[in-house]
Amino acid sequence: MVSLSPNSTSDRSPSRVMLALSNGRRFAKTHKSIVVGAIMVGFVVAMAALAPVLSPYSPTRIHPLDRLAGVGSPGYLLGADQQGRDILSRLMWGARSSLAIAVLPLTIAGILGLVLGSVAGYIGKLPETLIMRSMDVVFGLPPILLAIAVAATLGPGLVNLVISLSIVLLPPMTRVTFQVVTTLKEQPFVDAAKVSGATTPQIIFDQIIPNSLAPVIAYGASLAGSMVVFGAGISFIGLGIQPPQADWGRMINDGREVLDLHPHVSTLPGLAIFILAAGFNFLGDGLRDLLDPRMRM
Amino acid sequence: MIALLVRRTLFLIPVLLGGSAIVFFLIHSAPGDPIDALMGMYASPEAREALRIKYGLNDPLLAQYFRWLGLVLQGDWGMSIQQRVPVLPLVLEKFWITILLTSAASLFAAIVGISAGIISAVKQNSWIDHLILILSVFALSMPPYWLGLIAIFVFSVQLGWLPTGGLYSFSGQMELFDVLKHLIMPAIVAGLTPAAIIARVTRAAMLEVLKLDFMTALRAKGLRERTIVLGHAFRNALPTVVSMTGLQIGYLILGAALFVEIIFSWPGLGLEIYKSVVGRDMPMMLGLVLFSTFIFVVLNLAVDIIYRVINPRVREA
Repeated sequence: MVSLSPNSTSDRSPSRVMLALSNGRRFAKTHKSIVVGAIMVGFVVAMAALAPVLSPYSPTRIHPLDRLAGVGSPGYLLGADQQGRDILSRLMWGARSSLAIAVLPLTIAGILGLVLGSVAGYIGKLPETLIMRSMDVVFGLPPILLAIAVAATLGPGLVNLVISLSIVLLPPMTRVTFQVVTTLKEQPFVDAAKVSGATTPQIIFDQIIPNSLAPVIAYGASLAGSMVVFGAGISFIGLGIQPPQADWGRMINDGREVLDLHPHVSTLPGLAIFILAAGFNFLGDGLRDLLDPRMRM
Repeated sequence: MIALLVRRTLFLIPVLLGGSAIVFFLIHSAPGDPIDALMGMYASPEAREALRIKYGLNDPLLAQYFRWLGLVLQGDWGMSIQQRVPVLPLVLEKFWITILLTSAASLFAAIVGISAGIISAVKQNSWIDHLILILSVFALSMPPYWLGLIAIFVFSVQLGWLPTGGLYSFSGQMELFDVLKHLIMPAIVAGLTPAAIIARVTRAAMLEVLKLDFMTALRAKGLRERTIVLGHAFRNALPTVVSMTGLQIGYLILGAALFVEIIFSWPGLGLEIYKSVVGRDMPMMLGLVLFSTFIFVVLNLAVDIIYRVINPRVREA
């Protein structure tokens, strides 16, 4: 990837700056979807990070006099909900849980899947049978219902939602790693490591896992957008983040009862989910092209 | 072929056993003691213990699992706490209502997705290809529960063209036209995400075929472009498209349809799952999950077999 190196600001030679700029421009031109996706996701990340500074009110401040204020009313840029809570502030704070739901389960399942898939793929035999067949069982279950059942059993809350989504994501992540590793282990550099006396755990952690990272990350990134929609959906049902904490999925469900006269209450959080999911999907498409040319569409 | 069929069907057994074990484990670890629910908080410890022994709650977990599995296989899926009726008959009744919605949604998704994918591949890198790709990302990113609300607001509240939800109007009997009017919005909303995925897969599969040498041979033969694209290229891309479409239908029945049923009050399995979650009706919810697992597994098997039947290259593998 092309980026300005840390010391390039001190290096004043114009040719290097020009080169970096033109490289950046060429990168933006050939990887449009990465740029578009990064802008959309970056916007949401900025909103989430700056929520304590920028949000006009506390996301849980109830002000009944201003209930159902419209978009653009004085003091409420995006209006207020049935309890008079500022929708803009709730959207900004709610971005935090949506980002956590998009990133954390993928990271957890990604790390576990890398280890399990590498062990199964590289060693084969009994570990392969044990790991891959038990993953097949979980993979055979309908993912959304499995997440709902686990979340309902564990009880509501962000941590339990992350756990249930990680369980659902583990089988596909393990399977992708496994497929990558089975082709990887025939490569000469693995033989070279073996000949030079590396132990099996050393080969798995020093050779196999680092080399299977790129396609696994590409695959994970392609799922992030769906995780935003799916995770907010579980909150929408009432199993994820609990009130009064702000959450986009929950806000859509709360606003349903006033849809006919005050559509902004439930449609604005939906728009936020859409922007974040589309951002991740563009980013995922771009990363796949960049990191794993074999999967290019 | 027969051997493969038998092998694949036999593989259902561990998947279903494992799936039901997970479901059983979830019932078991769900918060709340069933004895509390039956006897209240003030029962004496002796009475509690007696009931525990009577219902076998002191037995080893594995013994409890197999006893439960025996009941499930005999059709005794327990009682819904909220609705006070046996779970299994209710699930079967709701299943057909969900099938109606998912068939309509699948039909929409297959027609729109496959045509968009073919157009996109044939006109690769043109403006219409870019438009379809961008629209497909939008459709993928659109939460169905949000799109449904917007559709209701526009077509029911503002324009008054279509009913806001339900399966049929209260006034009339279940007339075909009335049901269709209720079906159209939920079917399109539920079908949009699968349509986008099918379009992307169709495009990729078509591009693979279109760059092969025999395409040039067909053109040299003087065949019409239409015949080449639909009769030859699509015919070769078909196995991939069919298996992906089948998988999408599986996810549709158990995924997007769930949210869409909630938004449109479509009285199928999804709405039942929502009600059981909100009402903390564990037996009902786990019955629904168990049943859906069975449907999902069987559907995936069917897709796998169809894929092998229509694709000569893997038929013998």
